[in-house]
Amino acid sequence: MKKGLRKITAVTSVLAVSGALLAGCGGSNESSESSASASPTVAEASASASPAVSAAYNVSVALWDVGKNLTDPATDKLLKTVEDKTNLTFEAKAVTWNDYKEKYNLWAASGELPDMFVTDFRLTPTVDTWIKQGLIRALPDDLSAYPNLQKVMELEDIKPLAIDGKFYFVPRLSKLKPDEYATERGFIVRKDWMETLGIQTPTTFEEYDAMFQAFAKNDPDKNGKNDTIGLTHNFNDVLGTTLALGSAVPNIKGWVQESGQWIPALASQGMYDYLTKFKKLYDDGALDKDFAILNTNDGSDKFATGNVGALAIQTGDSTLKMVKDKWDKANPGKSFEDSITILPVWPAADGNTYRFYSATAYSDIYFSAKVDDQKMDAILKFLDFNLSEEGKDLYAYGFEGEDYKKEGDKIVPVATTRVNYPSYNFFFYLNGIGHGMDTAREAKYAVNGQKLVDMAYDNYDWMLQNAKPIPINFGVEFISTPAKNKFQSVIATYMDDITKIILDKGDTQAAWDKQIKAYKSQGLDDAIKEVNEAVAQQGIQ
Amino acid sequence: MRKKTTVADYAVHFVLLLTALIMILPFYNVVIQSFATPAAIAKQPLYLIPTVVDFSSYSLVFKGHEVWDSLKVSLIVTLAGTLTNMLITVTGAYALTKKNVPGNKIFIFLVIFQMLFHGGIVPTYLAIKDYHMLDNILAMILPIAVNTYYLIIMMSYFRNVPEALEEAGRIDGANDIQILLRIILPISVPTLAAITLFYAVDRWNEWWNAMIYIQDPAKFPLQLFLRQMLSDVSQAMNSELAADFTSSANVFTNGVKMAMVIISAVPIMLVYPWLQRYFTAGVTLGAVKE
Repeated sequence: MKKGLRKITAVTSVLAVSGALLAGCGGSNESSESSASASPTVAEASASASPAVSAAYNVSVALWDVGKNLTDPATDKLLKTVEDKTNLTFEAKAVTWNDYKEKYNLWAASGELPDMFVTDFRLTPTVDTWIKQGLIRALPDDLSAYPNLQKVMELEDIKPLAIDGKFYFVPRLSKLKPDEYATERGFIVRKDWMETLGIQTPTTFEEYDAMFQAFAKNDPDKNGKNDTIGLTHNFNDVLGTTLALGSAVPNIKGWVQESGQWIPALASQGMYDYLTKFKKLYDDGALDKDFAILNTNDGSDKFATGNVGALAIQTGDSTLKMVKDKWDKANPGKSFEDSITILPVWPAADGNTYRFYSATAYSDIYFSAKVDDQKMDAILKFLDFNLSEEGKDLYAYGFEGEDYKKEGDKIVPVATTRVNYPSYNFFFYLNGIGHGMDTAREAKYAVNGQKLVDMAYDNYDWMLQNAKPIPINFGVEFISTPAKNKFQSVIATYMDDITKIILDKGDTQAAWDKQIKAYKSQGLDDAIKEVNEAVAQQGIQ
Repeated sequence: MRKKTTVADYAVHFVLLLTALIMILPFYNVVIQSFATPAAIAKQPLYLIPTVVDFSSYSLVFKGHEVWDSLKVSLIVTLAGTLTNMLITVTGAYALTKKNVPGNKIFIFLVIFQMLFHGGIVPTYLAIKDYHMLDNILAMILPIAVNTYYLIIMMSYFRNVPEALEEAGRIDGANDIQILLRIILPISVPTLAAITLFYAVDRWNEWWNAMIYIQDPAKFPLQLFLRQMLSDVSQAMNSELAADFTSSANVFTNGVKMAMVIISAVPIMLVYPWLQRYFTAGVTLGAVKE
């Protein structure tokens, strides 16, 4: 009897285990997004330019922090309004800042790219592979149904990115025009220390160097201790490109013409001037001794505790507010606005004061090849709406009556936050950036404080009038050839190469020549050859 | 007769003390940073002397719901995962040591083969997808249900159990399962404790599988949440990306990051004292004695 029971138990267990093992096998792939097979439930969308309501679609979207920012339309009026207007419902496929590269590659390899996703893979072999393998789709050739989008695709820094006349992306605009980058580089300087030490506003490199040194060595906070720093930075790349503005290579990360040939600025003669100035700041004690090991935002933390004289950082009103918040926590009772001033970079050797200028986008929106033409039309209408006046007003100001009032032509904010809907960050990472610097100052007073906004906007106006944009030829910058793209990833770590030379004690020029030799062995000459061939071929001026 | 303490003894102790200090110092730094304010940390080049005791970092971490969600997930994965691990490893190791099991050699070969060759991320991902385990807590338990190194350690231990014990059990009429439960396991407690500890630490530290397979932030284990908190936009990236990253409130002060490190490390550290007495025995398990 017992033996029979044991036999039954044994057989049942074997069957159970085998069943469990085989349970996963077979069956078709269950698609986690309902993208490809969604059929229009309403009649076809009209081809008119106005954002007519098209068929209802469910769009899966992946962008940074989408899991956190794509909230429930029932509780988020902004999301509900946009979804109702465009007849789309958005579904999040979560990626975050520290796993997006792996996730996109994984999804591409397993055939489950989301309908719409944002990433910074411009001019990388990854995108070339995706296009070759047919994983992402192109925009339709005729964009007349999306006038705002069409205007963006014809910008001088977007047009060169077409491949064989087709665009495989929509740029995710960081700025509405390259001029707005003027506020992305500058110095926040302790005005009160300048007054204490009797320093006039510097106008040349030597005067800036002397001022930073005075901050570091002359005890400007009068506490008897030698604990102050001259110049520090909030992010390595910001320091590198800020110093470049005042050197012979203002466009240090791009391409310049030398002796009739296009070469990377890093390989040009102007680098000696840049390195000499950089080294002087370090050797003179003007630059923070720890500049090479600071993490992102360490510089603004240091500035906030009150022992830094100048900070190389973005100088827009939101960044100023971020530093002010840190300052208020560390120095209660001391006014941030009254203690600082914004200064531009010193004039370069050619006598020009340069302002930062760059492509309007560093990241783009890509579309899975599984998206059919009708769904693509609905998505493009949505992206077009984001760039329309109505859309820009919505993202910049919010809802009339709730977030702002209109007094004649002026926008007067009602709420304390300009747009206080969590999904705002979702749209921001697509192309819902509102009016950028065209947003009326007054609309930002309630968010960032009047003094800071005025400082930022005044600085911006001054830059546009008195400083020249750094010379960039977008046609050349966006040439896409294998050797150039490969070399571009080599010089992505340019700050490491430069930092090594600054920290070393030897001859800067010789050390940089050695570095150029290293670049040559990593494909510099091939990149130069391919770029100049492409320039000749495409007739780029 | 008591050994005289020589100069060599002092030297050895000094070197060991120094080494221990160097190893403890970073951890000490983490602990005191978690109890400090950003202003206090910024005042010293390397924060070594605690000047304040401030709980705001911890209260900030515990105020959000993410840390509680991920703590819950980590506990479930560690408990259920370790249980699954031990169940399969013990039964598997015992079965594979029995020479009269048909196909024994083939199974052992397959086990060793997959130690050397791995399918790759994409095929594994597709396999997990086909098993419908995407965005499911099981993806952190089942794909890693057996660690073959620990399996082989158990196998070598079971092989060293004298056959006489099993034969005695068989004479008394016990079947295989009863022999395993009543005879083998009680004398294998040191090995079991050590392997359980290894598995528990592995499951507690789980983040890779979670990163690849889990979508829903509510299902993130503690270590993945910690990794996101500690992630710093790399130096090589362009500044526009860094600015976006910064403005999206992904950047935490050092104090908060260190508080999170402590929270992630303390629970598993508390388990150690209970199993520590078996640990020294477990360290020699790697030596295979035939």
